This record gives sequence, structure tokens and C-alpha cells, in this order.
Amino acid sequence: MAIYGATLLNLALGLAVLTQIVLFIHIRWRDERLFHVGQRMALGVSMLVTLAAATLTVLLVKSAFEVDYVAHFTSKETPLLYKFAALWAGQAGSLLFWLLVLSIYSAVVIFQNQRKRSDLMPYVIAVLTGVQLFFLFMVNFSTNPFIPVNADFIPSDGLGLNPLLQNFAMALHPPTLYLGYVGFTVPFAFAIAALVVRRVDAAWVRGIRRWTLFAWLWQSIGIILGGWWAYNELGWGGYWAWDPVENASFMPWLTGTAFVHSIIIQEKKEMLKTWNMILIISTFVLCIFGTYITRSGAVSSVHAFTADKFGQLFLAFVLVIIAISAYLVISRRQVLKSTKRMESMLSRESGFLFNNVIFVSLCFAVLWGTLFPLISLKLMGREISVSIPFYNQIAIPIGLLLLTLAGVGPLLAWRRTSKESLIRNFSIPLVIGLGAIAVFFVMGIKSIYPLMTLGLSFFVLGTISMEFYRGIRSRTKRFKENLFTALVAMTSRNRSRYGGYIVHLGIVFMFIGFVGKAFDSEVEATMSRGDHTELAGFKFTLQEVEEKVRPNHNALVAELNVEKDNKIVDTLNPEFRIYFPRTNREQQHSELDLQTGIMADIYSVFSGADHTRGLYAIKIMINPLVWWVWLGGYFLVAGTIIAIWPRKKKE
Amino acid sequence: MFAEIMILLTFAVLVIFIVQPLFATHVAIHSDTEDDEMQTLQLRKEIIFRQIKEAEMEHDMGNLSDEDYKRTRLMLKEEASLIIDDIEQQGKS
Amino acid sequence: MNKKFAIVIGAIAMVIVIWTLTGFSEYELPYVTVKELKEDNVLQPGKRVKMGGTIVDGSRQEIAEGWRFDLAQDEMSINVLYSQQTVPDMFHNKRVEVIVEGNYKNGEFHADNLMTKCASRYEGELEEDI
Repeated sequence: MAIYGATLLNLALGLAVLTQIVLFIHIRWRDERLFHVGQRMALGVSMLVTLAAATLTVLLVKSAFEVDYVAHFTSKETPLLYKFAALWAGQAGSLLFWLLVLSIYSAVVIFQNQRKRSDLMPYVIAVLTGVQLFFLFMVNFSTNPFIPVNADFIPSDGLGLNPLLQNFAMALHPPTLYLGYVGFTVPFAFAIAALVVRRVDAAWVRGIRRWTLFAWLWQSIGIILGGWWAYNELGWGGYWAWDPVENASFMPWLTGTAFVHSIIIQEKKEMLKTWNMILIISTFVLCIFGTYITRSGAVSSVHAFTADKFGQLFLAFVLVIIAISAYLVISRRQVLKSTKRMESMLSRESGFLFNNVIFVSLCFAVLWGTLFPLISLKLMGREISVSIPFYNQIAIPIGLLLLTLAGVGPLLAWRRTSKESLIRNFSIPLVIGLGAIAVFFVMGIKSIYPLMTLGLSFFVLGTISMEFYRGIRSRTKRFKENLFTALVAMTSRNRSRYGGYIVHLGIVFMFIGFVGKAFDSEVEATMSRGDHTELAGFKFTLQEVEEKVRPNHNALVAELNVEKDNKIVDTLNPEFRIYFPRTNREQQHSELDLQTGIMADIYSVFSGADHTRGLYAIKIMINPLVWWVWLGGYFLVAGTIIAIWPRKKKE
Repeated sequence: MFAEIMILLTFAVLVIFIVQPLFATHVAIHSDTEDDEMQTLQLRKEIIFRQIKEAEMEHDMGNLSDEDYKRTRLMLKEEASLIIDDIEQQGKS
Repeated sequence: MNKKFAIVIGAIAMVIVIWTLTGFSEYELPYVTVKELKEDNVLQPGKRVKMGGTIVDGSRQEIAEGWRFDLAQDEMSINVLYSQQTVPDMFHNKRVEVIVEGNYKNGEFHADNLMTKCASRYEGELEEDI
């Protein structure tokens, strides 16, 4: 069966090459039938890839250990869900998964555009197939998921998935990110097509609006899920560490967010066309780059970066994309030029322009920090990496700038904003923001960044609330609707606008959550039964430690009472586990326990034990405002779904 | 044996699916550039009209001062009339 | 886009770029090898560096302030003092690669940060059915 899978991939590669040839002939000699043939070939590639992915899935589920990939990432006792998830656990499988998602997206794009006779389509399909070609090349020749085990026997059991990774969020994290990464290929394809045929007006931008939001949504979910997993599973008490792999997912998100906003201006005012081209090309390149960073193991030591074949092939692909895109943008620069000019700095157009500049600058800073080890290695012979404070030093002020824009931008008028509008729109939110700063200052927060963040957050909350309030009020006055009906009707008729506001609301909540990081506290203690320790006004008593024997691990379960003002507010049960005890796969794991609160999380880790002497190492952290980050995440998702939700077409 | 059969079957189905258009008697003709131009103009007109409505809504809500609203409306109506002229030109040619 | 805009945009971008490129040195973390630390005396004592290697099995010792262990790389090893009690789970594995950050003082490495390489699978050997 593995042979079937491998052959499918061979066929797909060949067919993809053929597709490009046929489409080229169609474009050159204008034979209409060949467009249809080419289209069907592209669909054929999609079908072959889907069948290949299905084959690998079946092999995984059936535990066919004669296949190297199956033997490495599953074992007999791996639960079914994680046998499925093993599809994207390893390098070869995840590239096939990338291909699978792209194949499905390509097929959808083809079906979506059946009726519309757009002259962009041959080029769109060519680009989509071209990207698939690269990945098909990789899975056929560089990292093939179907290769048999390198031994002359069939293993009796596989190595299995690390129990650390057998966690719901971790299973979902790669596919959500890929749905996003791959999703940006579609707008990219349309952008290239538009450049080639020199039709760079609003049409292509309008066509890809939903795709862009869809890709952005999944990318955002993927990033947040990653942070959630780190916080809830890894036990260091944080959700973001500016680690190269995290940065690799964040950078395309930054340019992608700029793009999502910037295309609004192109659609309405026919400006920022060149910006949009550069933004989508950068986003796509960064997605490919991100996939490479995550799957190549270049993380811990940059020495492996381009040394191996896998890295070199990805690098070559990235360079080809950049070269072709640059050529197209430069040769089409006349059509990309805008006929209109920006008049005032206090206008909606300029707000979006500043937005672009700031997002791209932040992306540059993160890129610099991520690539610096490689750059320093090449230039100075020594690998120098950058510690976390570097990123925070740049990201925090830029983040605050963006937060300000989120509040100010939507209320500026086109071309220029009159003083009257400014006063009318910003007086109250300004007062709220300043008031918030005063209140928090009095409450004891004296550091500048937390104060500014809170002040700006409340400012933006003020502007968004005012927007909702005014919108509802104007409807209730005009149409005599009640509050709720007005809200629903208003949101439904202006999904982009109000969906967008809800997303911004989510971002504001997340910033409030980030403020909490400045006030984290922790304590480490070695305790015996009955001992207690204190932190931030809470008293933690180790009541009991119980031994438990479970199917694949033994555990020591601690019972930690949490008291405040002499009242027990919670009991935490962090665990110290040993997986596969007394085998050569024995592994320790601390399963943390935490209590989530709106104001703070109480976080406990059972990090070590000397059971015979009854001594247990417990680490406790108080992490304020983390809940707000997840709340913001929910709002972000909800707002985007509203913005994407299609309207019923009027016949 | 099973694998070979599956491969042959897949291949056969694919080939049939792909070459079908070459034998089709009726092929849809691709729209020519004039239609595309018209389409672009119509799209522009729709976008401008939508913006006029939006400006009305914003003024109603109180976001846009009277001064800004008048100016925005004038600007958009000018754009709209230019586009409508272009559309009429296209229609005649 | 008129001149005034270009200047403002350019200025903002310049500021951020220059800040990025220069606001650097205090956050630099050079990667050094065990050999360099012990023999070559490359860096000023007390400068914060990053080092990687494998933990020598059997050298792990829990102490009052944290942990002591030997870190091996290219047939040389160095004693590391890690100042936290809580260690990542994989610290205890038989064969684990770690990266430590800290500085080198008096023949031993004082680490305040320790990271283990993320393993998505076990290193091990496939066994045949007998």
C-alpha cells in the first residue's frame, strides 16, 4: 500500500509539470480547450495528492510499521486520535499535509471561478500548481513519507509519540497554522496573476478578500493555540518567548494583518496598490520561510541552517519566488502607480499607510532578531543570538502605536478630517483613557508601559463603544428597533465594519492581558507534607502527596491547598509523572495544575520529588490577567467570522 | 497485485477526466477585453455608491461632521458621474 | 504620495530600523563552545553567553540553590551550576541536549536559563519481533 502512495506522489509530480505546460500553451496560442484541460489536470493533481494523504493516514491508523514514518511516529498503544495527528507530526508527513491543504484550496478556487470568466484564472492555476510542484518535488525526492523502514525486518512496535505531545492543543496547533500558511497562497496567486495581465485594479483585491480573512483567521488561531499550549503544558509560566519558531509564525501574521487592512484602501480609493503587492508577496514568502524554520530543526543550532539539502531547496524556492515577484512588480510599476495623492495626515488613507509602515517595521525587527544568529555567523564567524528583552524593547512601543491607530483610524474621514469631527469623536475616549491612567496610578501601578497600555486600551475601548452606541442609537431612532434588534441588524448589514471592531476589541483585551506579564511573581520551595509557603498574599500548604499507578505512567499527585485571608479558595493538584517506568524510554514529566481567574492565574508545578525522604519541589506562580489574552482570542475569532460571513446573494 | 490494479484504475479515471474537453463539441468562448473593461467600470461604480451610503450612515451616526460629510459626498458624487460617463462611452463603442 | 508624507514615513521607518540595528549589544548572546570557554579564554569573564551540549549521565546533582551537572561537547566537559530548582522534564532523560545561558566564573558555568531541545519523537531503536 505504501507503494500505491509513493506512486500517487510520482504521478502527481508528473501531472503538475504537464499542467504547467498545457496552461502555457493555452496562454500562448489561445486555445480555449486547453484551458479546460489544464484546469482538469490541476484538479487531477489535487485528487492524487488527496489520495496519497489518505493512504498515509490509513497506514498510520493500521500501524503499518514497515513504513519508516509510521514506525517513527506511532506505536501500538498510541491513541487513535494521535495516530491521525501523526500525519503532521514529522517532517515528511507535514509537507504532505501542506500539499493536501493546498490541493484542496486549489480545487475550491477552481470551482469558485467556474462561472466567472476571468482572464486571471490560467495564471492563478499556474501559480497554485507551481507551488504544489515545489512541495511535490520535496516529498518525492527529499523527504518521502512512504519510504520503508531501514532494516531487513518489520518492527514489532513503533517508537510512538512523546506523551508531552499527546495533548489536544498540540494535535491541533500544526493543522491550524498550516490552514493559515497555505491559505495565503491563494491571494498570492491572484496577485501574481493580476501583475502578469496588468489588471491590478480593485477586481483582484475584491476577489480574494474572503480568502485572505480566512487564512488570517486560521493563522491567528494557530498562534494563539501555540501560546495556550506553552502556557498550559510546558510549565514555565509564559505563553510567548520570541523563540525562532514562534517568530516564524508571527512575521507572516504581521504582514498579513497589514495586507488585510491595506486592501480596503485599494478597493475603495485605488491607492496603495504597490504596497499591497509587496505585502502579499512578503506574507507568502514568510509563510514558506516559516514552514522551513519549523520543520527543519534549524532552531537549536543555526549551524544546521543551510547545510543540509532540505534547507537549500527551500532557500532556492524562496529566492525564485522573490526574483519572479520582484521582476513583475518592477516591470508593472506604471500600472501600479496611483493617480490619487494623499492630502492630509489626518485622513483614513494616511492612517492605513502608517499602519502598513508600522507593521512592516515590526516585522523587520523580528526578522532581524531571528536571522541575526545566521548573519553573525556568516559575518563574524560566531553565532550570536538575541535575548528576549531585545524583542520586547521594540515590540512594546510599536504595539502601543498600533493600539493607538486601532482607536484613531476608523474615525478619520476620507481625504481629511475636520477639527469638528476630531473633537466630536475623540474627546470622550481621550477622557476615558486619561481617567483610566489616573485610576490605575492611584491603585498602585506606577511603571510607564503598563500605565500607557492600560490608558490606550481604555481609549480604544472608548472609541469602539462609541461606534456601537452611535450606530445602535441611529437605528433605534430611525427604525424604532429595540436595542438588541438594532445591534444585530446593524452588525449584519456592515459585517466588515463591526466584525472588524469586534476583532479590535479582542486585540485590546489581549493587550490588557499582556500588561499582566509585568506583574508576574513566583516562588520555589522544597516542602514536606504539612509545610507551607506564601506568595502575593496567598498561603500554599502541601496537604498530601499520593502515589497513583496508571496505564502508561506512575504519578505522584500533590494536594496543594490555596488560602487567602485564612479561607481555602482552591486546591491544586500538580503531578509528577514518570512515563514508561523502568524501561529505556523512561521519561519524567510535570503535569502542572492551575486555577484560572479573571484577575490572575494561580499556577503550580510539581518539579521534583524525593519520595523516600518525603521532600517535594513545588514551584508556584501568580500570573495576572492571562485570562484576558484568551478572552481576546475568542473575540478575535468571533469578529473575523462575522466579517467573513457571506450574504445571501440578491438574484 | 492490489497496488498495481489501484494505480492503473486511478490513472485511467484521471486520463478520461482530463482529455474530455478536447472532444467537447461546445466550448465556452472566453470573454473579450471589452467586456472586461465594462466589468471593471461597473465594479467601480458599485464601490462608489456603497461608499456614498456609508458616508450617509456615518453622518447619521454622528461620526462625520456636517462639513466632512458635505465634502465627502461631493467628492464621491463627482467620481460617480465620471464613471457613469465612462460606462456610457463604453456602451456606445 | 507627496513629499511631506514621504518624509514622515521615511522618518518613522528609519527610526525603527536604526533602533533595531543598534539597540542590540546589551542583548547579544554569543554562542560559545566548551572548548572556547575552557581553553581559549575568548570572552571577558562575566559576559553573558550561550552554550550547548549533552548532559553527562550520572552527573546530575540536586543542590540547595538548584542543580549541578556536567555538560559535554566534542569530548570536553564543563561543570554547570544552574540556579533554579525547576528543570524542564527532559532534563532527566538519558540522552538530552541542552542549551544554557549564563556566565563562566572560576572554572564553572553559572547558568540562569536552561532549555532542552524539543523532541517530537524518541531516540531509540526499532526492535524485531522474535
